Amino acid sequence: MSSPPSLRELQHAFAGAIVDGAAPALEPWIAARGIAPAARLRIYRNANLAIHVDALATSFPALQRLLGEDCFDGLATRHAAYRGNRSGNLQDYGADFAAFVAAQPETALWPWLGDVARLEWLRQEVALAADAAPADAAALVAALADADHPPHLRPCVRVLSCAWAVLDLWRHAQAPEHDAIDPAAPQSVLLWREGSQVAMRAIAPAQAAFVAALRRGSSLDLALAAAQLIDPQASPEALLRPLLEHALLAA
Amino acid sequence: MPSSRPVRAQPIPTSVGIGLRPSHVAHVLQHRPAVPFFELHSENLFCAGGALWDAFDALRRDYPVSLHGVGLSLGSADPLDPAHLAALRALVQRAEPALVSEHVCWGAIGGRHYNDLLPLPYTEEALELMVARVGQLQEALGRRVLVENVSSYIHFSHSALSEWEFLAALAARSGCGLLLDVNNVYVNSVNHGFDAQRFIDGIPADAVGELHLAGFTRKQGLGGDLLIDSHDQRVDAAVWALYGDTLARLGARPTLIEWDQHLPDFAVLEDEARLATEHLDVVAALAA
Repeated sequence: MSSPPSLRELQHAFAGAIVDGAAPALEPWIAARGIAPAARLRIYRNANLAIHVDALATSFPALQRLLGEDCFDGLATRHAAYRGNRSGNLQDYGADFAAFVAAQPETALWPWLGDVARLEWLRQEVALAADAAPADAAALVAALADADHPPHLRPCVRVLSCAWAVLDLWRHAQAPEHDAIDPAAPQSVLLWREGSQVAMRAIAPAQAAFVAALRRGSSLDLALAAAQLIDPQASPEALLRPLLEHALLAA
Repeated sequence: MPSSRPVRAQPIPTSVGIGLRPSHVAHVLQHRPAVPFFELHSENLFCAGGALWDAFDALRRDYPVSLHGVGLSLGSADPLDPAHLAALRALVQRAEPALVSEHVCWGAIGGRHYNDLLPLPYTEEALELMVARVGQLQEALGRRVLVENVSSYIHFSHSALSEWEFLAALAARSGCGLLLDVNNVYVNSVNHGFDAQRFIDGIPADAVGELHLAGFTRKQGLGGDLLIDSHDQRVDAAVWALYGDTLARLGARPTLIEWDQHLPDFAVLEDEARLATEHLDVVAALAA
């Protein structure tokens, strides 16, 4: 018998067993005791898939409802096996799942599913974002007067612009008894945290461009210009209103 | 703001705490059950803010807390993930837990994380690596940590040490403490065919800072006995017996009830904690 594997060789071979289901070079170094080494390795492979499929099901519940459990499990299992996680924190797993979902043959007939997944990942980001106190009136007035230090958004604010009615689809997944929806109506969504809950509302495309620009750190003038490329009539007052209404500007 | 630190860390008492999972948080905050301490998974608090931090800040005003990491992959042949270590360090500074623990295992290689507690071979090479890694962790955190023995379904035949010899040497050489999971000892004794009592006898008593208890499931159809550390059951009778033996040998230790899958009502966990407390009371009475 050859010499035993180094720790690094062992771990790479073990990882191969988790991903591909076989580790012929490792099996001679696994004590059988009545159970085949391959069967022992399969326990870890199955556990690994279950851990990651469960994590995706937790982060993408609306997508799971829209796809059905069997189809979702199939996609999630494929993602878990071939993409896996790049982080030791399971909360980070799934950042690329929306793009993966959109590229799979099962979802070709329902092109909005990738956007529903994007919305769900943003909901997770919102839920876990840092806390920050909202700006008071004095801080807002100062920020508005200072072009070099534009007002910045609270870390929990996200925005998503879609070619599909992503928020209606998400709500439909939560409560399918509601009215029929037209998935092909474009929708932009503003997301933020209110207390400990994730809040969402549909906003106009120009509003979404304005928030996206502020999130990139643009000045108010540039954010306004970005919004007016989409809607030349968009006024600063109207664009700022939802941000003030929901206290989304940070101190 | 969570970063304001309203309370100083309270020490973990020598009694029976409960592993707190997100789905029980609302119940605990509402009812404030008489639980001596709670343990949370470190990674659940790697986020910067939000509901979990709000709950944690509320919790630690009333309860001692310990943090139990599941994702650092101490035993990986690759270097520790610097981002994970930095996040843990920031968490420990912010949360001021009474105890910090991790696992004697690996979970990542080649940049991919398997988010599982994978078994090490008990070789001198693995021991040296673990000693260095635990040293790195203790230095980064500026405190002693506990490391926990894991359940396993594989024993590597080129292991030169028993699992308990490996743990004892790791504690002696790195200066870390041990978190002895009694269920994992029992599971491994069945899975790998050793006497669980020998394991307990081989552990240096003064290194053990905490005990864990959980439930396992029996896996059928593989041609041999195999127990899976499923954390979805009540503690097995055989594990209660081994827990009693462990307390008799080590003396009373803070003990935690863990349940991670198919979580029952919180009252079931409290009942398990009550049973463990009866064992601890016996040891205390004998010591008196």
